[in-house]
Amino acid sequence: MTMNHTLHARMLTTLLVGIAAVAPCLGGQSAPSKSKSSNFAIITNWGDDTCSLVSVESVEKTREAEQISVIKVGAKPYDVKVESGGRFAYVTCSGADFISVIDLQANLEDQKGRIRIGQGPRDLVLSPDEKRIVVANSGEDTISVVDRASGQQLYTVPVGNIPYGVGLARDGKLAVITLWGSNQVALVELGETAGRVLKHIPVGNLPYTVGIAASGDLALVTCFGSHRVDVIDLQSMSLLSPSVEVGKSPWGLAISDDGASALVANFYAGSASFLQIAPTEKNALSPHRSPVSEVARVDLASELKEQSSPAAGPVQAARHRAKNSSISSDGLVALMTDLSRNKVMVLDMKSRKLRGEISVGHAPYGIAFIPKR
Amino acid sequence: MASPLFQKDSCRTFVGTLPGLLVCAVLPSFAAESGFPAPRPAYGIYFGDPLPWLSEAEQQQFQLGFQVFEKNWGPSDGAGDHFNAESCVSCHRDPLPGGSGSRDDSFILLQPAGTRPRKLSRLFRDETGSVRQLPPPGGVFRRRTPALFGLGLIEVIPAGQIAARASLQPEGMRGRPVWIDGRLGRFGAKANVPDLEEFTEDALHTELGIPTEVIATRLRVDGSLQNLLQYLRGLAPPSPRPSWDPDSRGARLFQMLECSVCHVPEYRIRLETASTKNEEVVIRPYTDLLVHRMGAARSDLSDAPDIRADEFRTAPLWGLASVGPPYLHDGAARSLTDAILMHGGEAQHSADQFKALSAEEKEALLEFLRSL
Repeated sequence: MTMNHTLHARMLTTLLVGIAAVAPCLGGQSAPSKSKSSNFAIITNWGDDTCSLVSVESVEKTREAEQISVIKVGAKPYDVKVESGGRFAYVTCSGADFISVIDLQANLEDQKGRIRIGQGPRDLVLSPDEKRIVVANSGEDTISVVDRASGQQLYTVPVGNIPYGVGLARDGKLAVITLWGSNQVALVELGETAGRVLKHIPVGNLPYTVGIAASGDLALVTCFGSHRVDVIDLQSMSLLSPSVEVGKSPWGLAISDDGASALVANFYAGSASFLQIAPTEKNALSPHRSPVSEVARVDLASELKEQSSPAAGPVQAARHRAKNSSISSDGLVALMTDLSRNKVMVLDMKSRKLRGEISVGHAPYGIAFIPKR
Repeated sequence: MASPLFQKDSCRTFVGTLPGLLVCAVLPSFAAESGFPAPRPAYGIYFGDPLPWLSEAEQQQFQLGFQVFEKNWGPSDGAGDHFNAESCVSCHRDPLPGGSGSRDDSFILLQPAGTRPRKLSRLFRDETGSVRQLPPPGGVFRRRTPALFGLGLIEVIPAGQIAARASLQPEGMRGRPVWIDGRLGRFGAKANVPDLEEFTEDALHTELGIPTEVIATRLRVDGSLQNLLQYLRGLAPPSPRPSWDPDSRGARLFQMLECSVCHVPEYRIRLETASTKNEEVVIRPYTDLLVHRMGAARSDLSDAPDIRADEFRTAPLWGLASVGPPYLHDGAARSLTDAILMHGGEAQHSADQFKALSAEEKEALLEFLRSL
């Protein structure tokens, strides 16, 4: 680390100590209120077994910024989620079969707190009350349900062929799991000590990520091989039509906290699709009129070319591989990881313009804003 | 059959002899000074990308081939009741479609059976359509699902260049080419598969359970096989990481420990395609494509009467840290360090030298391997 990075890391630590000082105690609480995003985000670097901490505001002045600090974690970190207090981050280590727990206050992984789960863990999600973590184990066709307070796996549920994405609805009692190997979504009822698959729903090819709209009625699924987002009505447990055509090979998906919009990372297209989710009355979804539509598609290479500063020189075109995204709680800013250039792109959600880029580690896969109180 | 993407008969290479190697080594600087174009690197932007010079028609066929690659095959497609997977992509998926397999059930299981091992099926579909697992018998050997990136370019390295490499290698580390009916073996853990067409047909048959007559009468006729081959041949090699530096300390250690004797870094090949027009491209697979004796501890099966149980093809190292762990032909190594230390036989002294390195030197070498 350079001297500047060390200084920034200390400043970040101090800042986060301040945040943590007013954060709620862990566990045992009623459902936490929605937290505001801080200026900070955490990214998993799949290619070098680390996580990066970045400051979103760092691109305001310079457009190109660097990560603030780097934290070593387990092998092949895939997805990351941060609890509402902003102190602990949970990272699935797909090459090591555990969840790394990062103490953001101390800026390091709590190695003794590693949570053993199934093989090849991919996406994870915290339950609304943050008492549980649900993880897709792509290496053994199960999901794990973990008790966050004790750091112990409570049970697993066999779900189907190569589970990747996880979403939770109905106050955490319904899990929506993408099955990459069979082009399906599994709807899984989660109990206190066991779970069961309620239904398998066919979707497009190679479904990776699932997002749950704020109402809890809709699940959006990126279908990498079919170049579309499928929409599932969770009340009727059925697929809505039409699907939403997006760019080539959609992978990551983020839904805004207000449930009104979504952002899709189109991997081989190097583009971002902005989706609108129209409000609907409960139980009033029509099977043939999906409330989700694409309202804009932004070519990331064009964005960069337009906005590069003259001093930077000519920008190489069309070299983006957008993998994942996260939207700030206020819905104003989105972050998108770029696997080919090892950067995080900062997008303005209103103008849909690129604000800047932050260099991170190798192959940035997972991304999450760090909440503040 | 010659690849439609590349005209193999017209391929020439600079590197066939030791002088040729030396010429090749100085060529880039000479080329830069003299104004000749440097060889084009043959990478995609990321894993799973097509070769950068494919024409629009070739890219379309590449996409059609990907659809075949991701397709789930069942009885209505002519698939039989014994198989290992329902789609190519369900095993070849790490880190992206076209990659390797890390799941236990993505390993091929082999059983000794006379002169050639028998590949086993782990899944059975009954008359109701239900699929159940078949418990493997004892005494089976495992082979890892390999990554497919760049295999089309490996297919067109001139056979003479590969075969000649053996005579350049020192006694005690001298590999040998595997010949199958006059064709050079390049693929498979034992280099016993000469081309991608045979590789693909075998995989369709033994892994997806598609009978050979269905391949011949349906997949060849409707173009699925050709499209799939175009996809496989069109997959670009992994690009090295930004940290890759052939002059780094790790790279020098890689040479000093004689890893590069077998894990040959680079080939330059001339391609005659619609878009490359006899252009020279450079590829860096880090393999000599020869088989070497790896010691008794690594022995498994003889895949053919003239291939010994302890002989293995030098594995390509490009994309290493992204397509594994696990490593080695049977996935026995959970880390790069383990993989190096498990090298025996002709590579024993390299492994011993690695053990003797300082912690710093080891890390420099590992970092170089991770950058490939």
